[in-house]
Amino acid sequence: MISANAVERALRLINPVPTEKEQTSLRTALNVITNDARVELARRVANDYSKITNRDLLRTTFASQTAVAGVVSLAPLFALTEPLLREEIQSADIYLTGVTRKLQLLPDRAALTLDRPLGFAYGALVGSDLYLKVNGLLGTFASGVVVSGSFVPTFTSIIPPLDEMFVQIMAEMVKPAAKAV
Amino acid sequence: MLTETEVCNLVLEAAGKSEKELPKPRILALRTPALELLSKRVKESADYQGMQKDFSVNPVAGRVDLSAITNILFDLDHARVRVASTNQTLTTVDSHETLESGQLPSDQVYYAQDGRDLVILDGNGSIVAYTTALKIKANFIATLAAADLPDQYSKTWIATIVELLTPAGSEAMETTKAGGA
Repeated sequence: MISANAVERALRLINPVPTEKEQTSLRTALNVITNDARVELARRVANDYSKITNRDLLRTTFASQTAVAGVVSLAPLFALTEPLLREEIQSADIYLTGVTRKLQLLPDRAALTLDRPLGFAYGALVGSDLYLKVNGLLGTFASGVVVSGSFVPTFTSIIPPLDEMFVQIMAEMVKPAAKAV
Repeated sequence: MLTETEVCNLVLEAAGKSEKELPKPRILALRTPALELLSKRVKESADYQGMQKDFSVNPVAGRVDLSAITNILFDLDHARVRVASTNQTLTTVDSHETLESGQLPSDQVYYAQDGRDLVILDGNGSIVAYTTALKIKANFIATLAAADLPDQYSKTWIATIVELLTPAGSEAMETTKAGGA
């Protein structure tokens, strides 16, 4: 999908049909909100467990990041063109090199210090850093960390059937502006 | 376009006056002001597309100087700007601020009116780089020299000349001049 198509399709969903002058304002509004609409699409799709196939369209396995002294920075993943959807990190699958079991995310660093069963990996996200506890040890893990999770799509990744949902989101987001013009 | 003789005869007929009452030079002198007034009225009407044509322009450093385009009557809501070679439509936004800070998608080229200039945002996010030749479909002021008044407006042109021969008509012309294009 390209942004111009999304804008024109969303414009057609607005009722009552805007005049030509109103369309100019609405085109501006629609173009400006495209980034917010992409995030909203990612959010809705990530939470739509009823349509697991749609959900999979906006999930990916990111390139492995390297942990140093039990901490791995996920900042590179948040800075990608199609970034990891931070608020859905809880639903991400995170694996550490050499650990078979999936990492269990804990709410904060304090929770990491509590005694936990060995053989599991635990983590707590603080800012963009993921603090790790492996086999009961904090501050030691130094190897690869692979995250599979939801991402915010660029227009290229908004393929059918996501395009329809995206266009509807855009129209919904611009509704207040449509009423005002 | 009507000849001088045709204009004079039609004006005399429409005004119900003789050549003695309305000397030919007076009628002929009003042809150009009537064309200007008519062009501006068409631009403001629902039928504005009836007097639109393509103006070729070459942007310099992301800007098009509208004041340098002869006889253009530019209206952001009614004009269409396209790439000359491909006919790809550039997208209108409402302001320079939107171009600068609207975080617009990079798969479109946008433009906004900034005073007497058009400012163009290219796909790289620059507002000072665009130089691709464009054509602007916009309303124009018809002239005698170009003989470009569409035939469908000949009658209206005659009526406008007759109108300008009256005191109220002269006032209308003055109002239009004061209002500018």
